[in-house]
Amino acid sequence: MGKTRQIIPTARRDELVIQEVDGETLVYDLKSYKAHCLNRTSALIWKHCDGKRSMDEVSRKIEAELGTLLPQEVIWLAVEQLEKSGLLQEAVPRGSVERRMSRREMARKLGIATAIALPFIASIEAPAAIQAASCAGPEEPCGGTNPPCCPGLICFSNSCVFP
Amino acid sequence: MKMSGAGRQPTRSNLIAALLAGAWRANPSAAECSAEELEMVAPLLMETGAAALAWRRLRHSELASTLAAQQLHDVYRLYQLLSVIYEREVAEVFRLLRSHGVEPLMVKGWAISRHYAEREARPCGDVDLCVPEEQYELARRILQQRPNAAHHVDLHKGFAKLDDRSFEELLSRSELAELEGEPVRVLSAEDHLRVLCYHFLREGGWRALWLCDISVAVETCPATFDWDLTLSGRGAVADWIACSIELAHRLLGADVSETPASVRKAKLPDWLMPAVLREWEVRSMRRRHSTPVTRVMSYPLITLRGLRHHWPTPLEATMSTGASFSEMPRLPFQVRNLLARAATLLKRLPGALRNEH
Repeated sequence: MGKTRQIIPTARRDELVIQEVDGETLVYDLKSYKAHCLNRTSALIWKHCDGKRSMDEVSRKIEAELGTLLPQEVIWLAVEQLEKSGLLQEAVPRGSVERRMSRREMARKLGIATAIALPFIASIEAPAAIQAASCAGPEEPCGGTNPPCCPGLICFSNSCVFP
Repeated sequence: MKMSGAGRQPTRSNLIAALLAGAWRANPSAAECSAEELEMVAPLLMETGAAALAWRRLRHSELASTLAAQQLHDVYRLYQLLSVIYEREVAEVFRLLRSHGVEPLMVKGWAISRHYAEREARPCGDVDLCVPEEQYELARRILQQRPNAAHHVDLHKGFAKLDDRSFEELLSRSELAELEGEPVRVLSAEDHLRVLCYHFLREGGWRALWLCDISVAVETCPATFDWDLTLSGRGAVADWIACSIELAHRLLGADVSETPASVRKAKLPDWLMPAVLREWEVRSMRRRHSTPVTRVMSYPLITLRGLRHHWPTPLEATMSTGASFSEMPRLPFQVRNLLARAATLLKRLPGALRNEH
């Protein structure tokens, strides 16, 4: 099967919280407790990952929405990033030459103008200091989206305990 | 509000106040501070749940691309997602409790964040629910049916810790607000402002976010708001509430133009504002929860090291004795508070030590 006919994997939709804010697509994975931030290009490609469309079809769809033709290498890069972030249902087919190209290499190859639209998925790291509520005291629940344990305590088996 | 200048070096708590001023409004002005000041204060903002609000004032400023601002931006993004999970769970908890005949009343959390211009920027940690005392055990058992819930439900027996008014009285004035298709019972605006002030003061005012809540509650008062209802009550309550609102006005620029004269004329005692600003940096009340004295036998070093945080703050000492906010020195109140707590501890200690072994 030629690479342009290759089917793009299916996007994962279950156990995810998705919010669009300020032109970014924010995704919270309820399984891994990880959050991701997708730029517009990544989000568009992710939207069209339905497990049915070929690379050509996805490319045309995105061209219609972005008004610019995205090279297939760029789409593969996004698919690869989506896979790494756990946002696809199945693995990306191995063996494509384009898949081995990094984002930086691609930016160099495709030029600055295209680089602006390069797909990008950033992990949203909750800083250690982040605290949504009063910190969890001894034997209070922790982990997941619970508040962190108070200073001097550690989170053990989803409960704050003394070290 | 400009922070840096030729004058005295601003403290971290002053910087927090300046960064959060008006941050709850629809279009807050861009914050003016230096990159160094922001770097200095960013960890404190993150630790106290105020990072996303601060980002709202930084997003259109020159500092938006600095590393510290980007960290706040990440927290803002995260809160956008967590708020969805929180709101789903609040609705689920109400559905669950109602299906067993329990009608809870929600305080703080979403009950106040819904009044922010961007409610997702005001993080909600746990779900504070009040139930009638006689239904407390039933509610507690029902809530055990959700072991994998992301948010902890902080269940209260009535309002004993939050107000001196009875559950029935507060319930009679309560309102329903829709969340995820489920009507959520919340306090009336008058009662909620009172509870927010009381909670802020009783906790020693250690979170600036709680003062933002008070600011929001004041600025979003409905036209029919009955100030007498908020300010009435025993002893020093009216004074406490008026001083909380005045603090929100002075520190965060809360608009108090619609409040009655008795509130606008509230005189803050000299010790109050420094005590609150100090707590924004020290957070002794929070630290105290992590080092309960009852754990001294198992963790002597940690417990003894944490003892310094057990000295009561002027604010909590005043609140615990029910005294008014006068200019009198706070030391006698602090000593009295410490002795009362020590007496309670001595009573509980044998049982606590037995449980530990």
